[in-house]
Amino acid sequence: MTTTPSPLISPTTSSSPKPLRPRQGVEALAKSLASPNQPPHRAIQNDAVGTRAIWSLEYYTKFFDVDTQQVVDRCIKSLYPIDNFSEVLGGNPDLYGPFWISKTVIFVLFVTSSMAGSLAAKMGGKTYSYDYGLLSYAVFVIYLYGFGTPLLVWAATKYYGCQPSLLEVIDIYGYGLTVWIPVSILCVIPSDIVRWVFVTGGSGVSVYFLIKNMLAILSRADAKTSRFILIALGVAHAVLSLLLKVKFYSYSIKEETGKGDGQ
Amino acid sequence: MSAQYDNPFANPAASSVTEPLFSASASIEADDDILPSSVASSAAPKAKQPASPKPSVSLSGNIGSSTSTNPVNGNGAGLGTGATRAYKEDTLDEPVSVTTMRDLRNVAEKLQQVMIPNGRKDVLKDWDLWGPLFLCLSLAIVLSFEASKNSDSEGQKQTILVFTSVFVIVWVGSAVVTLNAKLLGGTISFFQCVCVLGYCLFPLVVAAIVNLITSSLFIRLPLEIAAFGWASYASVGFLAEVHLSNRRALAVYPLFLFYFIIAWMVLIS
Repeated sequence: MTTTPSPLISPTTSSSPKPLRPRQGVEALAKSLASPNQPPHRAIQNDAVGTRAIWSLEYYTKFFDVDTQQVVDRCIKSLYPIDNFSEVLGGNPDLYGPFWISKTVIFVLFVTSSMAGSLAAKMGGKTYSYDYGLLSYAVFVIYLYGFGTPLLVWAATKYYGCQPSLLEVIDIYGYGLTVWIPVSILCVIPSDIVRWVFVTGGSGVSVYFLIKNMLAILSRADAKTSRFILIALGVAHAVLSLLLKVKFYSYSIKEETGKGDGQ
Repeated sequence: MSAQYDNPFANPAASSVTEPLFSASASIEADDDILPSSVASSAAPKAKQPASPKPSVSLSGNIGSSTSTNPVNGNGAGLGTGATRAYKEDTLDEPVSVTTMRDLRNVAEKLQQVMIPNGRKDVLKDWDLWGPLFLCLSLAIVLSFEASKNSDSEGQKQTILVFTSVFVIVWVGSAVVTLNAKLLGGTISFFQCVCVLGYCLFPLVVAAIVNLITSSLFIRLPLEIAAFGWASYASVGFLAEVHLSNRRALAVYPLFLFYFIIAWMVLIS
């Protein structure tokens, strides 16, 4: 349906031979224009909530039903993990946050690591050639952690009968990645001690956020052995933190002049 | 063509009674006219007097309005045809150079619209993907050329990697940004948005070409920031009517991210 342009923007195409799919959005829009107290996107979202096939685009709009304020709120609450995050979600977990936060983290990692690398090279009196391999490495690591781990955790908690919601687990992991954005920016500072402090701090905040919210889900289980999942979570998170530190925040003047490798 | 085929409309009683087939074919030929409804309306008062040409008139109206979106019509008109383009002249038996020049002129017109974003915003609604392809290819070629110039030993490997990643980031990125706006409930056509995002790469391509000449960071950095701001401003202006009230920032943020990563790649190359 994406190939036919929306009739609202190009009015002449509204008489296309197959007006079935694009028309639905327009009808929803027309409905919302009839009732002015409702914003147009709300009508499209409501229209999409009904029975839609899983391969249609409308099916997925319900995972993106968030406002700017909600997303900002969730990001801030993940940085100051005092409240229970499932209450912050309010029964409306989204995919926008996990998707774009993980993408932002990947880009910020790439940008700041190449910035730190060129800074270190300049201070060491060398020319710096950026490494595109780092970008694909960041994509691999962040997506594996941001979407692969929640899948495993969800499967494990389901096995123990905790009735977890997959979207909620993905949200906890996705919003938990937010902390790496400021940490990456702060790690441009070319001092290894300062970097360790920031990485440890950021890692601590996000692991506290993670454990706190997973504990709320795991407490529904009867078996006490389910708590072992928490240990696995902590180990996985520590591995991620170490990987990021070693791979992206380890440019230093000494290494640069010594090895010329930067890693 | 019009002098010959306008006859049935000018004298409907005589032609359509004697040659009904001819009048029908004439109304099909008239589809290339830019406003089929105006033809139908101008022919309608004349058709009221005789009873016989009424079907031919209604036929011309129907075909004219339906084939304005006909893909066959679009293919005949030129390479970079959008959904809403229509031509006054017959484009089937013109020289290839004329067709190419017209498409190039369309691309140039849209580029001008991107560089001066306060003008007509409906130019980019007539989307094509030739301009984005051209800009994406030139960006990828310029960046990979610089990558091969900078490094010596692993330069060849890096060159291919740079070309591939620029190409993938531009196309997958613009598709993802568009899908994101659609999923948030925005009313926007997929290819229009991809077209706008592609054309708004133009300032960044210009910056990349300037970077070929100079390597001073004091020229590069302000230039990159200006190009990034320009591209973002132009694309946000074009996408102003996405109909997202309190989630506009959510649709605009990925767009900034998209241009930022490309600007960064241009800067460090």
